Amino acid sequence: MHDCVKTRELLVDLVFDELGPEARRRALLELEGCPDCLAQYRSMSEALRVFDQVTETAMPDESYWPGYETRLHERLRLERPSWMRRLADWIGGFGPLTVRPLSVAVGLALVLLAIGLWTWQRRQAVGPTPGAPYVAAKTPTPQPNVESHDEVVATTPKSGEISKRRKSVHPTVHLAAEKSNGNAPSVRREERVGEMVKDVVVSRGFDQPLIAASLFTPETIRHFEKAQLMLRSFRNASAAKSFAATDLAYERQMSRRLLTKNILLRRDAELKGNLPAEEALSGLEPFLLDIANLPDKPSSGELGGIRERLQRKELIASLQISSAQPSALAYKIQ
Amino acid sequence: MIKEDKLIERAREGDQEAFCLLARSYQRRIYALALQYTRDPHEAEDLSQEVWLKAYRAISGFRGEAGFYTWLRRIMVNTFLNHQREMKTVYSGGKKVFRLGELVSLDELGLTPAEPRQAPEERLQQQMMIEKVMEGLSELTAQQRLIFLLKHREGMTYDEIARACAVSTGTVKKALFRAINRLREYLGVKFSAAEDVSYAARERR
Repeated sequence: MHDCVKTRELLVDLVFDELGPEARRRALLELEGCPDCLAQYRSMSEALRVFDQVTETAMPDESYWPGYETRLHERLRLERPSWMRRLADWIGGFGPLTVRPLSVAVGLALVLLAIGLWTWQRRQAVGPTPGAPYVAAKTPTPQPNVESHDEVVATTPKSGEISKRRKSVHPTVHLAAEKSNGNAPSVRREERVGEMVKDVVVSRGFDQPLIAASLFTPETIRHFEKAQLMLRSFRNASAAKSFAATDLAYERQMSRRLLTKNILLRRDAELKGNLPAEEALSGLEPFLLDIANLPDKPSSGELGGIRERLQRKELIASLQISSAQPSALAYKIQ
Repeated sequence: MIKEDKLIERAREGDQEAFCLLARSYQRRIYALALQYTRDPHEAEDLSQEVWLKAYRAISGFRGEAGFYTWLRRIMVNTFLNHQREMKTVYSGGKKVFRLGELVSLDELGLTPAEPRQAPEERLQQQMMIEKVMEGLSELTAQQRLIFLLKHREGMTYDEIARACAVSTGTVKKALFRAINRLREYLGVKFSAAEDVSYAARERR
C-alpha cells in the first residue's frame, strides 16, 4: 500500500543519492504508482539541475583568475611564518650543532621558563614600589566626549576640518608640536584631578603618520588590510608597462566598496571621539574616492598623480603598520 | 607538470610559489562554494582566500593521512562556519542593496554571465535566474546553505556532513529538504501530477 508521507520522506535521500541500489529501486517503484509523489520528485531533481546550470554561469570568466592569484600571492607574502616555523628556522641556522633540534628546542624552552620563574619570584619578593599610585582600580571607564550630531553627512572631511573638530571634542588635548617645534615625540601624559589618567596621542595627519593601532577596532584593522592590498594592487597595475585600461576594473570596483565601508567606519570613529582612527580613515578616503571615480580609460597623468600622492604620504606603509600590529601602540614620526 | 606530492612537500617547507601552484588546482572549486555560500563575489574572494591563508599556516602540520583536498575541505568548512560577519547584502528586485542603501548593479558585482557574446535577452534571462537562485539561497541559514553545498557540490555523505558541521544527520536531512524546496520555489520548478508518469520507470533503468 502506497504511503505518500513515507515516500516523500525518502525523496531527499533519493535525490541526493543516499539510498542503496535495492532501496532506490523500491523507492522508484513507489513513485511510479503515485503521480503526486512522482511530480514532487521530478521537480526536486529539476531544481537541482537548474541550480547547477545557473551557478555555472555565475562564475567569473577566465580573465578574473590571474588577478585572483596575484592578490592571493600578495596576501601570502604579507603572511608572517608561524612561530614554530621561525623557531625551526632559527634552530636550523645552527647547522651541525643541531643534531637533535627537538632536544635543543626543549632545552631552550626550559631555560627560558627557569629565567621567567626566577624573575617572577624576585619581583614577588620585592613587592610593589612604595608610594606607587594605585591607578588601575580607580581609573574610571573612558567616556568618549561626543558632540551632538543632528545630521551625519557622508562626505569626505575637508583638510583642516579634523583638526578643528579635535579641539572641540577634546578641549584638554594640546598639540605637542605647537610647543616643541614639532620635533618632540607626540605622546604625552595628561593628568587631572578626578579624571582618567590617559596617554593622549596627538597626530598630525597622514603627512606625518601616527598610527595608534590599539585604538583601532578589529573591523577597522581589517578594513586597513583590505585597503592596503587594493592600493598595492593599484600601484603595481598602474605602474606596469603593459598597462591596459581594463587592468584597473577590479581596483575601481574594490575602491567603491571600501569607500562605503570607510565612510561608515569614519562616522563611527567620529561619534566615539576616536581621533586617530578618524584621522587615518579620513586620510585614506580621498584615495578611495579618486580610484573609484577613475574613468574607463584613465590617462597616465591621472594614474601617476594618484601614485605620486600615495608615495608621498606613505599611505601603504602606514596601513601596513596599522593592520600588522593590532595590539601594540605603534607610531611613526617622520 | 609538477606532482601534487612534490608541491605539498615544498609548501610544507614554506615555499609560497609551490603553495600558489597547489592553490591554483583547487581555487575555482573553493571560490564557487564560497560564492554560493556568501552570494557576494567580493565576500567570496575574501572568504576563499581566507581558506588558503589558513591552509598555508597549517600546511606544515599536514601529514598526508587523508588526501590534500579532504584536508583542505576540513579547513574550508571550519572557515565557512567561523564566518561570523554579518551578511551586509540582500538580494532584492534585481539590485543588490547594501546596508547603507547604496544600489549597485549586477554588472558591478561581477554576477553577469560569463558568455559575453550572448544576446541581451538571453543575458537578462540568465541574470534573472542567478538572482532567483541567490534569493532562494538567502532564505536559508548559513548552516543550511553550507550543508546543502557540501552535499550537492561536494558529494559528502550525511554522516560526513554531520561530523563536519557538528550536527545530527536529522538536521542535515532537514536542511537539505528545506534547501531544495526553497530552490524549487524560487526557480519556479513545478511538475503537475498528470505529467509523464513513466519518468520513474526511466530513472529505474
